[in-house]
Amino acid sequence: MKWITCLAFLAAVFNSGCDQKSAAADSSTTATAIGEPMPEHITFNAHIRPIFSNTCFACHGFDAKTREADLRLDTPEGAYAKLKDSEERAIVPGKPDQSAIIKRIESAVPDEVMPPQDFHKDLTARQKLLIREWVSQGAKYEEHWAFTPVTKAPLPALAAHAAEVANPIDAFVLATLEAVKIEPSPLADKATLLRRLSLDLTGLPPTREELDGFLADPSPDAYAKQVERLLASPRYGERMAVPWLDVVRFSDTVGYHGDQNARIFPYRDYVIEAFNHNKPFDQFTTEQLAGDLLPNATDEQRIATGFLRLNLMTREGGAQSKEYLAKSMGDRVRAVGAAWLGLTTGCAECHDHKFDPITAKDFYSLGAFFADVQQWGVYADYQYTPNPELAGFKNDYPFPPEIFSKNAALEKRLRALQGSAIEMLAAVKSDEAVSRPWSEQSAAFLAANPTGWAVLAPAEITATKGTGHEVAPDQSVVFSGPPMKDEILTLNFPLPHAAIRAIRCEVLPYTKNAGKVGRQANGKFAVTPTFSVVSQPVKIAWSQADRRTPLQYKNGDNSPLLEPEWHSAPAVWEEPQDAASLPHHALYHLAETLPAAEGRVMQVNLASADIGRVRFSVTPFGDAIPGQENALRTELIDAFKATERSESQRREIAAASLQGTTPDAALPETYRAIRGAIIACRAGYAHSLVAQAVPPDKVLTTRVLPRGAWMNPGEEVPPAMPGFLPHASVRKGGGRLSRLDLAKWLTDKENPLVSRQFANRLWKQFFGKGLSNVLDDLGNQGEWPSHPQLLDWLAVEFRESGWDVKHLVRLMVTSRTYRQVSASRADLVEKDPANRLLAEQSARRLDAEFVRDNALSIAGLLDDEISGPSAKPYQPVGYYVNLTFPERDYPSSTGAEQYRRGLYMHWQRTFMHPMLAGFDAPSREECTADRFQSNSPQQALTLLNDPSFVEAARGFALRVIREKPENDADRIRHAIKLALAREMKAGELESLTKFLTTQREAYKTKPDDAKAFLKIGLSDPGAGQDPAELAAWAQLCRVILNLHETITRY
Amino acid sequence: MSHPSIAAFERFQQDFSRRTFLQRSFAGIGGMALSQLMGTSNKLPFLQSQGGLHFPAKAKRIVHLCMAGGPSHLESFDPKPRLDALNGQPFPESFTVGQQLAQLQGSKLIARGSFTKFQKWGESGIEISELFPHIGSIADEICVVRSMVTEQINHDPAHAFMNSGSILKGRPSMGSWLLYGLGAESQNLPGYVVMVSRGADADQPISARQWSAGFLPSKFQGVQFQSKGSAVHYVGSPDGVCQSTQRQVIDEIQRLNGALRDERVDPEIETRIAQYEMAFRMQSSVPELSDMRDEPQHILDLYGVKQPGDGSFASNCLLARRMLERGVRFVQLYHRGWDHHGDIEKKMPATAKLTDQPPAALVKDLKQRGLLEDTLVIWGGEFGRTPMGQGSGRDHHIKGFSLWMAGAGIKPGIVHGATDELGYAAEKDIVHVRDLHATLLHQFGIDHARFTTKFQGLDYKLTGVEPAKAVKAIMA
Repeated sequence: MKWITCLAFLAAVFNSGCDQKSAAADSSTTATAIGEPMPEHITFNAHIRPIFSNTCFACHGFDAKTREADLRLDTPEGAYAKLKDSEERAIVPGKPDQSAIIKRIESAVPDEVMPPQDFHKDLTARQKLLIREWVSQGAKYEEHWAFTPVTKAPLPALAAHAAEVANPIDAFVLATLEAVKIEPSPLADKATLLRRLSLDLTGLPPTREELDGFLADPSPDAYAKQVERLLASPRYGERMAVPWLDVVRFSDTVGYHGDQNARIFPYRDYVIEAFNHNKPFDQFTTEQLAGDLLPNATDEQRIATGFLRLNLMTREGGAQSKEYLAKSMGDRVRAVGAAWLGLTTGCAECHDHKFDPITAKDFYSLGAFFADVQQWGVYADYQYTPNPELAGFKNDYPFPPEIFSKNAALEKRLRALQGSAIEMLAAVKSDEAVSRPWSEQSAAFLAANPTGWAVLAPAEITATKGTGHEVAPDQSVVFSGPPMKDEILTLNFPLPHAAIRAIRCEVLPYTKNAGKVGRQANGKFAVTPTFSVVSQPVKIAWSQADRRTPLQYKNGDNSPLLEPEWHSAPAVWEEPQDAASLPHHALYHLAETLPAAEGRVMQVNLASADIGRVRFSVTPFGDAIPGQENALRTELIDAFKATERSESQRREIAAASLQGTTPDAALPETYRAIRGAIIACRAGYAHSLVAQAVPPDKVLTTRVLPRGAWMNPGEEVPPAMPGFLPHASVRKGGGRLSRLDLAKWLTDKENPLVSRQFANRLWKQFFGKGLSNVLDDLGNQGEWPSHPQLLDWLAVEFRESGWDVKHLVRLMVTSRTYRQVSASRADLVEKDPANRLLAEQSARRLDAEFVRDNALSIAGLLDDEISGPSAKPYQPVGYYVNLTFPERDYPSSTGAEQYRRGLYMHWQRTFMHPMLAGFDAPSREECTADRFQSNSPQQALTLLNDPSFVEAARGFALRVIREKPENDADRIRHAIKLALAREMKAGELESLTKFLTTQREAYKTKPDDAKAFLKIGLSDPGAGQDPAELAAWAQLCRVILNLHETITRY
Repeated sequence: MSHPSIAAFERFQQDFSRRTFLQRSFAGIGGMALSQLMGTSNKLPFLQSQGGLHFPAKAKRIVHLCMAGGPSHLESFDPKPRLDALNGQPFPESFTVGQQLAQLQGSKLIARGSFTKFQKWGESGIEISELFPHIGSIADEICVVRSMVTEQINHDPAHAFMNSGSILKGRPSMGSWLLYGLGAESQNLPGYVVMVSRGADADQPISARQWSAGFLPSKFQGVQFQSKGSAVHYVGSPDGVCQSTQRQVIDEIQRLNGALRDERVDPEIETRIAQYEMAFRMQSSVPELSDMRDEPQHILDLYGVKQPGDGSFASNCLLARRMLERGVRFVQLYHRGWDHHGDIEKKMPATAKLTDQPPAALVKDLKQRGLLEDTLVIWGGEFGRTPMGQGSGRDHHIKGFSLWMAGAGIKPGIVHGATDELGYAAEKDIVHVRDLHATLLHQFGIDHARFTTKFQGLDYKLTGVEPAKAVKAIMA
């Protein structure tokens, strides 16, 4: 029985914990030998609480309703008291033989033994002994560690390793290692370190240049410089966002039933930006929980409240509003519990918590904080669940309320696409001389009209129904008076002597119309304009408006194009609610440019009962965006103004002439595709789900629902903090507590959980496991931390730094502990298999999104755009066939969007992309604080056969061939370096060379196979390359992309 | 010698150390992970690592025929002459007062008699509606449960409840539980396979969450076989990669991974190597499984398969038998098309026609192959339908509905439980969804109360925290 000896040693010394959640999941109390050394001093928190919590508290704990024999063992008062109907006491401190629990746990009599046999949680011999010893030592109770105030302990003194302390983290870690006489590991080599650091901080491998630069930097702060470089990289925010998006369950769909799309990507952008700008965590907290309640809330702060809208929603017929309102409330309380408190509050939805002192009343009191959020149980108006406010909201509709606001990512994308469009046209025509007449006319036009828009002055105005009108000094025509049914307004405008490519219609707020754009009581208008010049109708190719109410939706979204009838904003339940007071702009793009001519008049007919003040302008330029002041890009303005034009300015003008003069239908298909993408940017605006506070008289009543039963509500509860947590900082009086009060309390100094929880999860990101490794539960059923003082030190440091996340990250990654070698210590396999003592670094498979990013980055295919709408990578055909209400299609993204990072992948809660699901990304239906790290055949099949990875192999091969044309060995060396950030090993060269030769020969004899293989994916197929050669290299690259090392961070 | 912060891990370390030891002894480093692959090995699935099954197992595998949308029990397995007599008259309020209704909420409630006739079948004389003559023909093989109740009245949460025992998302499905507990029998196929078929009408959506592993590792999730393209996602090699090339690619991956294994102390590498082998085997075994050309005509006729592989419920039932034969632990077939709020007299016979013959054939076929004795067959929906009419149909109903089971130690030819005289509420021998789960686990040799996994600090069970009991009365 050698293993028992071995086990005795292990059990006494090492905190093995669990290397995976699954292992933690099945811990049970298996009988083992008791001949293990007992700790000298037994403490309640370290030794006894885990046993009691797991085996006693369910019946002798906090929940009075399920308490047996009136005995509670979670408090000393309860445990020391006389037992019911007996002179005995459960625990007599110092006297185990007089303590009833000792008798009961040591009993062999089935009716007497505790825990009862049918509870299926037998105590081990060792656990029994621990309890006995603890009673002998006085049975001193301690408050649960995570509920006690967070304080900084002094740094421990070190005996042998004082010189190795890079920062306080190391002091704590090394002190523990010294105590158990395990040596720490040496530092990892620089190449490994940079790959580790890059993957941990940005989710991407280092580029070759970054690696070479670091290797060549001999300065003592070379590593620190890399840390700063990566912390400053915009990729950092993308990487940091992923765990937060898990814990708040961010996704693109509503989750229940039809799992319809919800428009909320700007919230994800907000999270990325927050990490990139190192937004203090307390501010981050307040904005998400109560951004809309802040004075003069900005669009960004409102978008942050998308957090409160990430609960599952339904539009299922037959669903009851009250039931789903109760579900949403529970969902939000669990989310706050998960994202901030690190507690599982869910149990208390039905009953007082069994293990933690959280009551059902606490649960519903927390829920009451969200009773002011505009919400519906069912997002439709059905006969059996009437919601008249949502009349007309069909399955294709969005889930209100939403904000409609400028989106920086889309504006940036818009500008980039405009640039690409010009480049594309310049490739067709770059000779400015050919377009000299156009160029001269345009320059003259621009000199007269600096914005590129010529405002038209009306010459004649008629109103068939007699709507009153006047012309304002700015040439706008002001219509006033009550709405006039069937009104047709006719405006005649003399046109300037210039070509006309597009017409702009501005509808402006006006004091006479109560400061609104339209004349309806709500300030809105609807208009159908038509244009004619010299009695000839002007054909419009397409039109777009910045603000409008769409007439129809498809899959939760609307077309970016304007319908013939333009309805003003805001749409129903849309922020800003005062959109009718904001200028509206529409752009009408002509099918064919009207050439310049003298003395023309344009007639505009406006079929509108209620339009207010309008102004029309024209431009000869073909690149205008509705709502932007200038009709042309700054680059083009500069090009026209330049006295000496550069080559690029000449190209710019040549391309712009094509844009300005070519009939729309005759523009190159590739250009039209780019323009389609420009139109899809919606003039730089996006919708996002937000929380909107309802007026005080509409706040929902929150009642305790005994056993979660929504049909039998109990007592009404106002918003309140959980009673068992310190809450002295919370204001007394001054009316109902609000979400702002909740946010303030969460990040108040007195809150013991938030800083601990955040530091603990952050630790996991860099060391593989939490210091307390039940990441979603710091409560009684959680884990006593491996390094409690370190965790508290970090928590205090975090708070005292002003909730500076980058500061905490920097501390972790610059510690010596972080920089040790990983997966290299055979001695630790026995001593500390889960590496909880951190005598080395832990190896870790990349999370799903980063498996993708890593491959695309190595292949040189990764799109570097930050933020923006979700993208749709290739997905098996028909994957959504079982999604209905409405039926769903999945047009996979084209162009650069196909190669976006994993965190931008469309997240369909009920049908996650198979690649994400296969690599353990959570469905984000519930909050997830910890992801599994499974290792499955599905992962192998994905890396081998998913077109995204097959295409990446081809991209990688092309890159290797193009960047290193010398010889096979150099190319292989290069490929290894790109993928693994290290030098090639001799064995690898030999093996891969042999493999390459085989593939070459095979593909030479099967050219059709080579061609078929190279067709996979939309990116550069390698035209001009020998197909057999490229296919052979691509197989080699497939091998490298599939390596365990490639998807593992060592 | 023990440091206070270390010696604290009592709860985890003993168990974990023991398993760490065991996996090294029996399976080498990484053996634990290896054994828990879907289907890789029977060496150490969770229950075996915990000392084995709790009872002798009657079932080795299961096929769950999920009639999605909620079939009417009143036109299938639960004849109610009193309801028929009340047809068109107000439904007695004493039955419905204070109860949750779905789309009928707030409507005037009118009794709707069955539009079908029932007849007695076989020696057992079980009454089954004329819509299901083939199931009638196996009446002596099945156990009809007429006293099912569930807690969720809308499709989505009701499916979740039927599959995972919880209405909260992110909980493991019963198939994932079984794989986690028992491992799989097949070396070459996923241990938990799902297929979905539908009739002519667009119908309620089905979510992949129904076969999700929830908080268990993703390797325990159900693998959906597609009716189009590759049966399993990414199981086909890329275009232009023949089998020998694919093998060479994998061999090269394995060679380099092997070199890494020798350098690193990382058990995941060994597991990764095993997974690539399994993946390659799946690449040939899945097409072999799906290729039904070797099925004789009389078998196709037995199931009513018109075109093998056409994605029909009949074809899926035949495919299910092939999977069960090959050791797939849990096969789940969804058939969408039972949500008969309206036009039930036309739509229900149409759906019944698609779903009557194939399961009867499956039971017969399993029996003739000697597989029925250790294969559990379950046919049923996520809930039933109201005895009150909803226009030309029936609304969702959770207070009483029917399903049937066969095989694997379930008593054949019996009826268990009963609803009241109007088919509204189960009143005799009520079987809650939790009891169904407990029963299912019991047939696999598992005590539901002792089959737990740690999640969010709880010893989490398929049957949840409320009381549940295996239904002994239906066990042979």
